Amino acid sequence: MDLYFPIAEMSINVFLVLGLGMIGGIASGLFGVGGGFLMTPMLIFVGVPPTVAVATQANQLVAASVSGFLGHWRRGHVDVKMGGVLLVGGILGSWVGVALFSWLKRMGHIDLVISLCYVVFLGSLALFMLIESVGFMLRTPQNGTVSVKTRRDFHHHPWLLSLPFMMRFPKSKLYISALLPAMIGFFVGILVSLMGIGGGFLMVPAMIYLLGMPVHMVPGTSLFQITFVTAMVTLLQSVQNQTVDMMLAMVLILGSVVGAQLGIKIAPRIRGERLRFILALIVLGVCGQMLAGLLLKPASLFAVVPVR
Amino acid sequence: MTVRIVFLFLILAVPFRDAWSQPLLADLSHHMIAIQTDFQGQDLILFGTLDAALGSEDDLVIVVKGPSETLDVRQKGRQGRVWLNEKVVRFENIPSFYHIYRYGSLTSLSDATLARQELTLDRMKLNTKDPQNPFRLALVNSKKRWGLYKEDTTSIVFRGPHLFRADVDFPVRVKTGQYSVTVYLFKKGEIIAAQTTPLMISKDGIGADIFFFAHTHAFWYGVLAIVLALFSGWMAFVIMRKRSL
Repeated sequence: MDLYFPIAEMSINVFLVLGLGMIGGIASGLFGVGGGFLMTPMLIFVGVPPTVAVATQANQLVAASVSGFLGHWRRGHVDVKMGGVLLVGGILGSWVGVALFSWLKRMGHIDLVISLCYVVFLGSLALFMLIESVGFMLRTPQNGTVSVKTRRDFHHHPWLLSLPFMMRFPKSKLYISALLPAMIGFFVGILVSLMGIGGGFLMVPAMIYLLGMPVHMVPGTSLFQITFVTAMVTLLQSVQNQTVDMMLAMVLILGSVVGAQLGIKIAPRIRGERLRFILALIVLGVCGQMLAGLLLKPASLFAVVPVR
Repeated sequence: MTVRIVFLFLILAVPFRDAWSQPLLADLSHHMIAIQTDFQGQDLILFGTLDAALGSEDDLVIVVKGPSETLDVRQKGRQGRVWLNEKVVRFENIPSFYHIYRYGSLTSLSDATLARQELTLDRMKLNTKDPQNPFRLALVNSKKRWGLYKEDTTSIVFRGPHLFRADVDFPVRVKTGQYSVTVYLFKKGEIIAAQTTPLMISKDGIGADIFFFAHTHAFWYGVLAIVLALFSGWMAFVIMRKRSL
């Protein structure tokens, strides 16, 4: 059964869209990430115009992140103060990112930059995660406990303590400079507007390894921030480009809700490092495809693109 | 007496001959295509009559032209190790849709006629006149692949010497807007008759409402998109919590 999506201006099989939403949902339920890094490239692959894919994906992420956020909120696992500081940085960053986006578009190298961002940032992160999770799996026996100490030590660089605007984050039991989370939010915000993803994927490790936040506070706090950032991107895209396809977003949301349920059910049955290992492999796959697009001779040297 | 009346009738009739016996008459089965949420593309039937049967040097050509659009054709090239977009050629105000259906070989038509009426894809006015230009070639081939440009010699079918019909197919990727269907009749290379019929393709139903809303009230559209997403996210959370209790 095909449906005609009015903003994307094309017919796509409903079950294909539901399936894409479900894959994203499973990823978010399993790994606590938005799944945007999987769904945006897949939508483009199906033939949705990239501008529509990126904008609609932002709309879908609003739903995905708010439902995740509410779950963590109920358990009290959200540091609103930290989320607020991240958000300030994130909003500034996405503004800079949007400006950067249109500048790169004018220069004609936006495709290259998007691909490079995927390869460099997601790729290196995935590689790091892969090595770490393999190390864990080799080191720890079946019921071995993992020490949190390694993570805590990581952020205790003296220069981090000497930054101004020291702020107390009681929920996370941290006393650090507010510049640190703001900078992370800013940096991630830039990448979000360039790559059309929620950014949780980049922010979660940054919050764990750089800020040293307690692991159980991280997903809820990052989802809190992502809800606001994606909502803002949805509004910006609607006003500036009219590229948010509400109907496409709703079908994706429906799929991702079901997928998230599945993911949440499966998650407890798989050990954390294995989950990270699987996630790392998936992300490396996406990056590998992007890299291949850059390095291999394309099947067709020409591409026809509509001008808005 | 009878002979006189017939003779008189013939004399009177001669000046009016064209009025009641046109060389070409054609019409479409529909003048409107509504794109609804179940749109899969649509076929229309064009039918018509000729006052005289086509000879071997005569041609019947139907040109269906869609609203214009502007496209960029990008060419990738290798710089160092990576493949980058090297050159961009912009095609401004070209037809988004161009189908040519013909009956006859077109061999008796002069190049000037073919070019003036753009009766083959190679003679379309697209930036450059050279049909072998790689950018133009890429554009036309992509359009052909999407079913938006077409040259067809089998769709026009004659039922007897005067009556013809043709299936005109509009694929799922058609742009909305004003289309024109022009039928040309050529005898021995000379244009005898041409008739243009308009056709409208527009969105309809909920899809049209969404599109219209998105373009007329962009801010409130964005707000609604966010509210809907927040609401469905909240619903998902409620359902999940009920399940886990």
